[in-house]
Amino acid sequence: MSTNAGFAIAVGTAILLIMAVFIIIFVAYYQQKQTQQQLAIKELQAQHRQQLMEATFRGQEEERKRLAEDMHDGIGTMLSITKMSLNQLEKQLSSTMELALQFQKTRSMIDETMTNVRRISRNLVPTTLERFGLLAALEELAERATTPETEVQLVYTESAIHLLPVTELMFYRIAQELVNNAIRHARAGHITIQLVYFDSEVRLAVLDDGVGFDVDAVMENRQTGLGLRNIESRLNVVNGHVTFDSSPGRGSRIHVQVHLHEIQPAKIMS
Amino acid sequence: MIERLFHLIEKYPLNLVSHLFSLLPIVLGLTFFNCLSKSYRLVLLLFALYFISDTYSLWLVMARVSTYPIQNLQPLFEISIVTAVYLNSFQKNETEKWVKLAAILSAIIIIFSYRQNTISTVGLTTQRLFETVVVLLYFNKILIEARVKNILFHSMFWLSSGLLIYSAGTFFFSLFSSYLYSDTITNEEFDPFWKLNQILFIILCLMSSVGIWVCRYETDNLS
Repeated sequence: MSTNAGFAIAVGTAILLIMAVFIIIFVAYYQQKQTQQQLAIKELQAQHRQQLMEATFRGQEEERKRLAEDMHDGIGTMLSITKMSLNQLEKQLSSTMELALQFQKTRSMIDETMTNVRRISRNLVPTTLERFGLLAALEELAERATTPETEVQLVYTESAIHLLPVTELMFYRIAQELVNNAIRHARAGHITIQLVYFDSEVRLAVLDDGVGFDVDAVMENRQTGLGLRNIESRLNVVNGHVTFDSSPGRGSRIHVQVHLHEIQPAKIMS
Repeated sequence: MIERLFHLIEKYPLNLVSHLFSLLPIVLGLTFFNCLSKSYRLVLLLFALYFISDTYSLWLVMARVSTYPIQNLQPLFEISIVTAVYLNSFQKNETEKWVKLAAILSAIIIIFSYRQNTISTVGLTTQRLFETVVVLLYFNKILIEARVKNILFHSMFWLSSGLLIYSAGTFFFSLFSSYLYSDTITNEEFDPFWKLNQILFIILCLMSSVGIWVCRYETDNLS
């Protein structure tokens, strides 16, 4: 074999081998880059979804506030004036027994409507929460929900951490939803709200001895699982977790857990 | 005959090593057979072909019979198996049609260039060229689809890399095979190229074995 031919084959082989290795390295490197980009895009999408959720909840709260103000200032004031006007009318009219009874009936109807307006308004915007914080608001919630048929009890640790108003509102709304569910759907006789603070996390649990429910079936049903999905959505915003532990005839134990360091400054600002 | 076998082993120890290495993917493949994809199971057939063909060639060499027919026919079987392996990956794809066409064309070229008493340069080169093109098409496909999360845990990546290195590295050896196998070349001149051939085959066996090893992570690795 001439040296030239052998050299040409060796060089050709070397060049092709280098090219093959280069192609393999390029494919591996480019693919890793692609994966990283995909991950970054997914993260951005998740962030965007979180921001949308936040905006939705903020909008919801603002709308509730506006409704509560309208009810209190508009309907509430009008009802008070109507009641005063009714009182004056009663004084002016020479009252017969029958007419007095009619006036009393109308006045009690107005009183009842005013109480309802105040209750709805309070539910829409928990003023106790704004003024005195989460514990006071939960105490008020437990007290208001307690009826002769249902006893609602609040259990909490003494060492309270100062939470952000947004976080407090989120916990309050979740507790409100769960207590409401326990009364309306589970027909519970005893409900316990537990609020426990740790160094860097807050745990809220609502336990009841009601009829319970099939968690999977409820979550799959788009109409019935709305409240529970709403809780999940609220917690997604702060990377919180919820565990639904329930089955028919066994009551419910719902645990919510939020790490305080997960609540980012952007959410704090809102 | 046994004496000749020992003489061959002594003279070409690398041949024995590469011969034994072709068993590695088969043994590993049978161990992890359940987690192997349908395509990758066919790879075991490819290495079984290598092993049988090497064993038969060795027997022919000991019997002092020419191995050219085996060397010239092997590309035909190799192309068939490689096509079957990759067709599964190109399913419902325009490339599938082209790969089939290229395989048929290569097979026709190999059949028509078949020689009984001498090495078939055209057949060997066509096979290397076909394998290189298929592997490049596969790399192109995985980069476009971007379904693989971590390519280092993707079985087909290891097989394709091994095939590419082997085909590219032995391309010039095949292209000049009639020259290298001619009587004008001495054993000392031929041996380095033959050894390189064996080393590249060992690399192919090792990389294919890595592909089998990572098949356990394949399910979670595809999005």
